[in-house]
Amino acid sequence: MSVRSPAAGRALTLSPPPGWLLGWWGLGRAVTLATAFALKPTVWTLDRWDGRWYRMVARGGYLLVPGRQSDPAFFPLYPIVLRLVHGAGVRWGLVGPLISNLALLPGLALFYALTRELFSEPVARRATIYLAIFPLGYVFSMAYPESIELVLFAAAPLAALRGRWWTAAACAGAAALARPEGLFLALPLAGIAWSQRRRLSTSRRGAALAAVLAPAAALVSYSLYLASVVHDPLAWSEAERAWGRRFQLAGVYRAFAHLPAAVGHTPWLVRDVVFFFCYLGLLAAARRLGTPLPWLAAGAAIVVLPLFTGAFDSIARFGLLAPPLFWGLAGLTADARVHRAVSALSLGLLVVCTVSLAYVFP
Amino acid sequence: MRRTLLSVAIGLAGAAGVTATGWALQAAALPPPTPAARMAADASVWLHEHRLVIDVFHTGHRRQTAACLRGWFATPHGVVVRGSLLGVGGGPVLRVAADSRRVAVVRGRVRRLPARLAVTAGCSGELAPLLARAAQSGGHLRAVRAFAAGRATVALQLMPSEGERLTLDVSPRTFQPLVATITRGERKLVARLYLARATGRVLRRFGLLRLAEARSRR
Repeated sequence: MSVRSPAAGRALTLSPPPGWLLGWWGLGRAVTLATAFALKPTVWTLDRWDGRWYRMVARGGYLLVPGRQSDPAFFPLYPIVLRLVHGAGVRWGLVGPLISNLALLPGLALFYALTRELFSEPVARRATIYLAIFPLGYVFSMAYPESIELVLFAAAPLAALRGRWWTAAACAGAAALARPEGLFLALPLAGIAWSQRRRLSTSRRGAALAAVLAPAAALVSYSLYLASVVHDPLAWSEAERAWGRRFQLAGVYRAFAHLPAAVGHTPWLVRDVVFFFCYLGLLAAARRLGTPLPWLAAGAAIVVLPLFTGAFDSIARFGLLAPPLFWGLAGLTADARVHRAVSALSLGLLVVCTVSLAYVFP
Repeated sequence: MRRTLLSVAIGLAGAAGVTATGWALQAAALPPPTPAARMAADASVWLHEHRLVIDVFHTGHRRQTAACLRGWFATPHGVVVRGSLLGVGGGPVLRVAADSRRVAVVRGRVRRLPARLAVTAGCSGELAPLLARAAQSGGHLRAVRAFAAGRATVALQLMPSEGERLTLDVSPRTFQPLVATITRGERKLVARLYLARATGRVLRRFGLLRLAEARSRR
């Protein structure tokens, strides 16, 4: 499945993905699944950590237990999809990894199409390959919403670039219901709307405004739903606190000040710290490549904002949903030998990171 | 100007549509929590808000008064761990670690009181997470009408672990925990729960004051 621009150049249509994309998707998933099954020959490895919480929401809905870790911290779109697919007869343990692995393919195809629209074909191809085999890419095989979020995160701006603003609004709204990172889609969508402002008719301008507002509107819908079910519209924020995540201005300072103690307690945190600084470098590389400013702002928000909660935890995973990082990496590997070296290194690290899944959450 | 206003109106209507569609999707696709899960969550909050529980244990024909304090306590090795201290009638004291759930005798000898069952049924630090987990997962959790502590109650029935059954009677109005009954095989323990404030007088009475202060001195 890929996104192509037909003669009119304004439609989102789906056609079979190019062979190379299918190949890299297959390679990345084969490496991840083989490593995960080598650890334990069941779906256990791919269905644990947050996957358990998403399944809990899918099975029993939301419930806030104040002061304790509870499920409103996990956004609703993925549990809804889990529930729908389970209703078709797939058992609970399998449904999450199945959806994630399959959804990654259209996600990569849409990401490739989006990158091609913004840059060139070679950059798009390299960026898509890196995304398919990224060290943290094992999350795309787990019962986590990242694969679905990738589909929506690429589809919304692509639709906007092609003038399909209502489709963009629907995708952006859905993205915000899948992961909080979806909120940052408002930035590139606003940038695209601004660049097209002279060409848009009155109704299309309205649709563009709706697309920019859609992520926030979707978040409001989640709050309203929580208000009706658990009687607390901010239950998702309350639940996050039980995981130690609370946005504070001094959060960045706390994250660095507590880092030695945090690493002493959880040595795996070094992974997130290393990736965080790599991501900052890749953002700089993306800027040099000519990435539009709203995209850079969205990427920076995805990477840096979690630090305001006072911890580095999971920043490596959050970066998977920041397209400018992969554009930046693709910009650094124009040389074929460098590209091959980065691909090989990435595949090796994908194996290592998948093994870490037995010990630490992504 | 008119066209701009029209664009803004369309945009706001579209955003409202996204909100309405999002809400409808969630309401249609996700089940609401069961009444039993809600009650267990509320009972868990009661326990979470009270560090001290005064217990009256009934095992067989014996009746023993105890108090259980939740907090951070120093072990003999000097390590400070999160857990609970159960002082039985001013005599023996048990400590249970929150993470491992391992029970250790801190002082005296515990006689005729099943220690594991006593800390599970009589400590807010043990009961609260059990209830929260049961509420979240929804498995093996039932709510039935019952009668305990001389009044009508709602009995929350759950299985904390293999072979263990816990029934927590809560007030039908406020869901305050009143009585915990735990059985494991042939053994059964009933605990009348009084959620209390941790005052020096109460802690001294149950021999917990010095142990509770040890943490703050470190």
